[in-house]
Amino acid sequence: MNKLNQEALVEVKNLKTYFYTEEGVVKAVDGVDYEIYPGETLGVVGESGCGKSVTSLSIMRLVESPPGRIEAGEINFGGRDLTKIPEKEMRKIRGNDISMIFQEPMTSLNPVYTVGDQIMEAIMLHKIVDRKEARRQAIDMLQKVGIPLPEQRVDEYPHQLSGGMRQRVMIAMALSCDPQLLIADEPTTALDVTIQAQILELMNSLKESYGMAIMMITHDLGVIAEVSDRVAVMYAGKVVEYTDVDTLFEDPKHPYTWGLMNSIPKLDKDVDRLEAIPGSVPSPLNFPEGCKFNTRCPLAEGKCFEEEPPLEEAAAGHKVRCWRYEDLEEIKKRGERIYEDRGVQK
Amino acid sequence: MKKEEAKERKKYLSNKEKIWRRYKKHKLGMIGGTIVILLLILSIFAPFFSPYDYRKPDYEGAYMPPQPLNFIDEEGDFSITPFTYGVEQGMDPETWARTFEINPDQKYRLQFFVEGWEYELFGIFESNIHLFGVEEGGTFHLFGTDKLGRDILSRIIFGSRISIFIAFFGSLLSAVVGSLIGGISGYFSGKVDLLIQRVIEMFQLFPQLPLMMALSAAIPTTWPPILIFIGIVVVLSLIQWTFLAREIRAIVLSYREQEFVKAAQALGANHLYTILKHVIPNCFSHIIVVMTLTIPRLILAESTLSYLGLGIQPPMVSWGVLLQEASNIQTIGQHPWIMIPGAFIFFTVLSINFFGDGVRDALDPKSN
Amino acid sequence: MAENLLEVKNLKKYFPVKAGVFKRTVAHVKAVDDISFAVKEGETLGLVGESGCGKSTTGRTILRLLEATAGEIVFKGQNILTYDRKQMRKLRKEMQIIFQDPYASLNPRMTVGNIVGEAIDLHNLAASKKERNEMVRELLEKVGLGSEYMQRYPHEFSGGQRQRIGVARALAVDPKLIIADEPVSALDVSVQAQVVNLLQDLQKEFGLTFLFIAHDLSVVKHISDRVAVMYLGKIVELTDKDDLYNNPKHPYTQSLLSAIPEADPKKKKERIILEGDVPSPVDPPSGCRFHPRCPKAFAKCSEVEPEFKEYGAGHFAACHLLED
Repeated sequence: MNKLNQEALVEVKNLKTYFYTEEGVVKAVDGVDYEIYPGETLGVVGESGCGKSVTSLSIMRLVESPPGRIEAGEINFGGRDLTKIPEKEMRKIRGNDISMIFQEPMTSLNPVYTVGDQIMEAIMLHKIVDRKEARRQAIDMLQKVGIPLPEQRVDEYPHQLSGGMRQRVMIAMALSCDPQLLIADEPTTALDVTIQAQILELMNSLKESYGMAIMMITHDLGVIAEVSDRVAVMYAGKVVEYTDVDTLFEDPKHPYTWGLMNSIPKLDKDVDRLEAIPGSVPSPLNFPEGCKFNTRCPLAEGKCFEEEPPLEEAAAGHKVRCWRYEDLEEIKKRGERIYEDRGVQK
Repeated sequence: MKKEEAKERKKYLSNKEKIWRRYKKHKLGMIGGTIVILLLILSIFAPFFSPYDYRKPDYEGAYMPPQPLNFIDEEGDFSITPFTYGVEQGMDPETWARTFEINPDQKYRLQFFVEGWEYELFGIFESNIHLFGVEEGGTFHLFGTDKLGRDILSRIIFGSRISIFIAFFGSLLSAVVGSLIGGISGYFSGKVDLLIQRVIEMFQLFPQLPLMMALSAAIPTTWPPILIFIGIVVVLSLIQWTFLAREIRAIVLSYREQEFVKAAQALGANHLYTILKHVIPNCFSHIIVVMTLTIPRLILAESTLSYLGLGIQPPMVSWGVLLQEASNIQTIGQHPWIMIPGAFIFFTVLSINFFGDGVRDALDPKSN
Repeated sequence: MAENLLEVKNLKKYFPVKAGVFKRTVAHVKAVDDISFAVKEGETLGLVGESGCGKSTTGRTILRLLEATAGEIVFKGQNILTYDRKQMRKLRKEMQIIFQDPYASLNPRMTVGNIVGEAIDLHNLAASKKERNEMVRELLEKVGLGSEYMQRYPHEFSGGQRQRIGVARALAVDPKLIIADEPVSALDVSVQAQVVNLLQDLQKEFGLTFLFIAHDLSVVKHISDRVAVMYLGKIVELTDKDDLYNNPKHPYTQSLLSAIPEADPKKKKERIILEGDVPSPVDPPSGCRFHPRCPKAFAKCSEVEPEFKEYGAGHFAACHLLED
């Protein structure tokens, strides 16, 4: 239930997706919970290896299996558990009810088919229309995503379009069947910043007109601030903080979130030195005991090394996975920095 | 932190361990590799494994058919130690053909580490011990004898030396030449590249076999066998280097733009240094693979040449030379065992090919 | 007043486009098209722009990893474009580069010790092997990596650590100028801050001069003293960083600044969304390169190229709007 008392569109409960490799079991997603409500944007932020992409692939059941496998958990959508329905039914959902766009538009589009053909393919897979009608709809989509001269562009090949255009084509494909949820996995990371601004604005306006929900996966906190309604911060396969976007930026409770926010240089504020989180993300084959962040957390002590903290509600609608978030509050009140970068890293 | 670091170290399988693991997965490659190793041992320690001196003729025992090892004798008694029967020569009164009769009364048991003919190993060790043989007075020609009465098995074992080493050195030489030229071609691009590419194409224009034949016919027959050996190696590698050159050129072209090459240039390295120290070592795995796949080709090439009389000359013996003796239909019809060297060529080439496949899959990081 | 360590004058770098059977040059990619700037000793000049603007090409041309088509590159008072091989080799000790891709910039077959020590060996900076190893150890420690890593191979390290190795390698020759070509773009956010801090520390300790090339204006603004904004082979604005942020004169700079998503949801910016895509440097627009996308373009903009002029203390820009 969210503030508007709506039911969640997608409910991910205790999702665990593991990869069985030669070198061991990689617990890419290890007990993740979040909800996406209709018409809202859920931002999922984290660095490489945190599992944010794998969660979205799990929702779409696109995890390569082997070596990956959805070990446990539920993904509830439209009254069904997506982890349990047969592949045939899943195919009716993909591209239709839930669509996905990826980071690299060049490799996500087939270079030997025109963009028109690819949008039409998406349409004809799910709707019962003939080619002529599908083509008309494709041109219509191209227009909606802001591609000039769509009647011409519809017959062009991906390599003839720029990066920004290709991403728009991807969006057109994803929206052609009017999905309820659009999963966007780092859609603007490979684009120039001015093009990124265009695409984000496009996505926002389409969200309005289509009334759909968006799951925005990115590592860029700026993008999160721009587009999200609520945010889930992920680290090492788990959600470590989960709240609405305003609260997250005003009052981050997890040391990792705090560290992330203070490590990015800000245009309007000048600092002498950035607060840097020491060390790097531990290898998924070698996660530490206890809280997965304990190898880098300046507040880690005692219990943090023994037991993993649960995701609990620290304030109304604000969940944190940390034993010491109250201590962090105190430190913040005193205006201190918690990450002292002495120059020599572990 | 140290303890965790140590654990983390172990989790990172070293490159070599990963390669070994991938290689083990390739079953045929493993089998091929094992056979290759056995073959190498066989050829290095050839005199030890050969029951007979491969050069020594025995005119009386010419064209003797293969003698099997028996476990059960005529009376049906089982004997743990296998044995061969004595063979008596005779002549068929009608056809005047030589016949070999088995004499069941004479039994010669198989023995190991017997004393036999004397030999020198690597020019250092003198010995006369052989892996196996039969009791005094008996003969044991597992694959029969040839027209001069020489034991075919021993000739095959000694022949393996020449065939394998020619193939190996030819492959090595063509790899060195090919990598260098291909590397230079890919690294410098432009006119140098164009020129070298045309030269390569000229080499490839010629059909291999006639070119090989022509080049080896140019080797004077008056040369001592060892020089002919080297000459053959050079000829074979002259044909093969172009393939590797092309592939190395492609790899170098892709590596050239890699930033660590630019970094070396930024540090002040000159071109030769950059090629040798940075570019070529990254091609090693590819070079090794191509070498392992070139070797069987060269074994076949050498066999072909020698079979045609253009390659190794007697008294040096290679598998091709052995096959030459099997080159007329009458001989084959009457003494079919003379073709057994062909089977060896077949299995060796197959094994090395499988081994090469396994090596290639193991070294290719993407095949994981 | 610090001296100019590096002066770039009217630098051009064109790449020929060859087509046809005979590989005739049919066009040129005007990657860098007549730019001029100077870098003072001890400062950090940021060079920022989007893909295709020519910033990386500029960096590599300054180091002569690419040969300039025209112009002058004056380092410590000498035009290095006239240097022969021998002189260039000596120069390599003074100018170094850090690359973007931590995975491609280190030779996977060399140990870390050899990667960092290679420069020392090439220029005979150490009298003995022992001294050389000692130097390598010191360098590794300076960048925050323990000396026990000397025998390891690049693939055993994370992206941030590899980047540190790249920094150590650049430092090994004790250079005066370091060109950092997108050194943090390929790193995770939390690691970026580490490397940025490291570069700042090293600058203070060794008195280095940086040319910091990146597409992320926030990072560039943080680490640089002055910033140059490039678009399609030309510098459109150059000034100190606060001035750039508070008083951007060029419309491109203005839209660039407004396009950057800020990590503050409360700030709903007045967005200047540019139309269209970044054009290709093969066939740049006539007149002012930016005119097809410029929200303030007028007639003159498509005809005449604006001059790169100074408009107030040290603030340079190239725009017709400012000329009145």
